[in-house]
Amino acid sequence: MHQFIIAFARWVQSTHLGVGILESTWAFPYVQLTHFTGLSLFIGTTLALDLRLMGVGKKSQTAAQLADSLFAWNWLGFAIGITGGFMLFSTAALTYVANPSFDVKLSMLIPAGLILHIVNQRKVRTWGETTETPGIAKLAGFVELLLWLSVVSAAVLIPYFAAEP
Amino acid sequence: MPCRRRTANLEQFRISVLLLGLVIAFPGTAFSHHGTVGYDFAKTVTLHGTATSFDWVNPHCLLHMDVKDENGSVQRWTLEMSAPSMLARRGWTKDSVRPGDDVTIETHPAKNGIPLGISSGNSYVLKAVVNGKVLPFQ
Repeated sequence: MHQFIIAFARWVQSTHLGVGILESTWAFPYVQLTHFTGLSLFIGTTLALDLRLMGVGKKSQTAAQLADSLFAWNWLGFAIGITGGFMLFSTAALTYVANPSFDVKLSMLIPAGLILHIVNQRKVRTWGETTETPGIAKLAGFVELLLWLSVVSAAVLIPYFAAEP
Repeated sequence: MPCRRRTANLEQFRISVLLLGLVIAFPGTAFSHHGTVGYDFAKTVTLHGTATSFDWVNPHCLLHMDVKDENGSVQRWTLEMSAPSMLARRGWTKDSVRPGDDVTIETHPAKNGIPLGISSGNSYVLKAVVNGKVLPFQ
């Protein structure tokens, strides 16, 4: 499996996409912009729902209503974020797979983060019918919040765990 | 009855504030860069050697060169530079330094003594002479 990951990383790094962005005079910041905009949209709407599951803002709408209105933005953000993220990954794939912080980030994201996120989004339809969410919903929201904050923390620590150039 | 609801709300409010505080306490978002704190900006050393490669890459261009010290042993130095966009703005190109070129370049060395230095940032480019020709610097 490890050999496959190395081989995949080596291949991705050699594609026109990867090399092109890596050596471009102007494109790199825009690729970063894509990733950061997408992840901000995704994490922002995810945390809003998690906080609502925990009871924050319960006077304005039910958790189910909030989840419903945020759903499209949430997954649009994810799609944009992962597009930008893959493009960044492609510029230096081998260094990323060798980076322990990147490893931790991805391993928390897939499958834990995504699965808990999808579970919460489905369950909120029943949990969030009333103003007050059940105890399990509060716990699920809290755990998901911690999980995503950990993913983001691991992500911002990536440069600090890169091998010397 | 009104008192009980207020207690429940206060409990919720306290937990929310605590959690919000934890969220805000994550300063990591500001540090999307490894920073330059590992370099000694009070020191400028001049290296003379042969370039082995000049990586014209984002987010930092890298110049690798072999430097012979007083004892005759060769050290492989890595010099961090700014992004291609920033160097291009100053007049550098990806061919400004080629493998095999004779290079004399200034750098701020790493504090821990390894053969690593920084030779340009967003507001400066240290002096580099390649095959006798002075590259744009400020």
